[in-house]
Amino acid sequence: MTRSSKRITAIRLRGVSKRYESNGRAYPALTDVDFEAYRGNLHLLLGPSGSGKTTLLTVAAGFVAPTAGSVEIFGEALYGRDPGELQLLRAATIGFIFQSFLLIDGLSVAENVALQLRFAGVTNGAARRRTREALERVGIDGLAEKRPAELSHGERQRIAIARALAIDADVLIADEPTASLDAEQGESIIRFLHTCATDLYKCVIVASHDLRLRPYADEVVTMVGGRIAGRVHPQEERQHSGIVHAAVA
Amino acid sequence: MYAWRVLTAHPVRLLLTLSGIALCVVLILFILGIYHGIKVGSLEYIRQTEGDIWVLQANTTNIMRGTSILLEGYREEICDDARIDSAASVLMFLTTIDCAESSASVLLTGYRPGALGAPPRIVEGRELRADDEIVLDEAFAVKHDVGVGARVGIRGDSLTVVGLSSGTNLSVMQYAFVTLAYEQSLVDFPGLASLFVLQVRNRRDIAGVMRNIDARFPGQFAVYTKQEFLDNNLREVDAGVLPLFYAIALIGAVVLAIILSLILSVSILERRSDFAVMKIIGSPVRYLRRVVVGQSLLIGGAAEALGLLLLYPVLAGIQMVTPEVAATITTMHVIGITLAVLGISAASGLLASRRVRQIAPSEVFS
Repeated sequence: MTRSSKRITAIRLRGVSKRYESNGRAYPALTDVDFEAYRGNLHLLLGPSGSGKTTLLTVAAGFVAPTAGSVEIFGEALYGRDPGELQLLRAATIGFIFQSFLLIDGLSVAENVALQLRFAGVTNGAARRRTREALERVGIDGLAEKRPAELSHGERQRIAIARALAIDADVLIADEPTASLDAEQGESIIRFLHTCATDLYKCVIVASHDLRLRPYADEVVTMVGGRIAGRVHPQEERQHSGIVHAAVA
Repeated sequence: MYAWRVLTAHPVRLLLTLSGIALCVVLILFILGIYHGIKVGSLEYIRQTEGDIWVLQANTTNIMRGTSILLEGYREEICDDARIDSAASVLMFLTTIDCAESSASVLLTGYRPGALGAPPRIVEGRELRADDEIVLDEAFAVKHDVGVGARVGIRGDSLTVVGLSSGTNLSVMQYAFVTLAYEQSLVDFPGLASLFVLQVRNRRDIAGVMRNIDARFPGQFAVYTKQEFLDNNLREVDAGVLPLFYAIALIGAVVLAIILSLILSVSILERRSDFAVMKIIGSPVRYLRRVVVGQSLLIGGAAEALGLLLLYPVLAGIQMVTPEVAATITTMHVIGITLAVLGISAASGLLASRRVRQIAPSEVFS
């Protein structure tokens, strides 16, 4: 995928609210959220537990319809589609990298990677080739026949990444991707997510408590109580800071 | 593949499930086999007797559960029709045979040696020649440890077993064959018969001969073609045993469906996160349904195979303990039950797969 000079909006949330109801009471999880995520950018959602980060991700991925507002993926409404169409879109467009890995223990590493390709309608031969390539890329091609339960947390997270790479997902959604990993494995995943955004021109949205991600993010969105409390652009700040330093010098 | 791995992840549970369903299969096949065995045993005598027309006492439709008393003199009157080639008298009633160690009831059937009414098949020994001889059913002989050459008693008389017959086992009771004269002597009624079996010279005359009997002896006899008589007796067999067998087979099928649904529901609950993950990565509904139905069909198919493996040793064991229980299992039974098990499995799988729909992808989000 070539990088265009114009920013392409991958995900857009406009005025999105989400309320859950229980015993006749409404619990707001998101309130009037506006959020845009671009191809080639890494967007980091920060905030305490219960701040609405995961809800925002599930709404953006098409799992939980908002109570109010609109969600678009590449300019088209995400909700209101036929369920089959939404599933196919998800299978072909979105890669998921979660703290719980989202792997199926009954399947081998290679089968886990190939499954989403199958759901996306990729033929068996092509799925095998793309799976092999994706596993090689994340360095676990030697573990293709193992079961996820036999692998370390870091290796398991690589399976999830390989799955996202295999389908060539335009959007990567990651929820606490480094939470179960040791420092070294965590760094490796962070660098990889950054590479996905910068080199592979993916739209990467990460919800995390891990502040190590901050320097790599194009945008840091802070959430509190289901609302967006602040936005900063660390890379722009760095560039700006660099220009100021140069001018002063 | 996934479906099989999920099942084999709990080998003990899988084995128990397969055993439960396999026993249901054995039970249903055994019940079907008994029904078929009773049907064959009940009808074989009529089927193998080469009579075109069967004459019984008026209003009697069958020999299974009907009583017919005729006087032999009528046979000669009925035969006063040039279209009739031969006519035989057969006398049937229940009596007790005393063997060396035991005694049991039989459907004692008297016929004239060389005429119609003989046992369908002699599997050992020979047919009757004299009044002090008897032919026993082979299952009866095994159960009571009586062979050709042995002596058995009927109401104080001693008869020599000269042959063993097959196709004469009604399960609850067996046929035994003696001469008509001897059986008549037992009731001290020389001219007594239960039915007449007629053979016509030309089969096209069957209807005419039947009409003639009705015209000449109005209201006196019940006259049937062989097929009508077979149908009448089959209806009696069905009326007696079918409801019971249907009930048992139905219970077996329900138990099978319950076991399958239960194990599938447990499996879905245990693998709830797998299904949620599949939904997250874009699984179509039909794929999830196929996984559950696939599991169900695998269980059903494997249990069916296990049931068939168990069936023959179980049958052999039952035959050893109760040789008179005639379970005849045909290829059609096996095919029918296999299809039924797979059908129930598919239906149970489809029902259970509805649970998958209730699983929300968001369940696995941290």
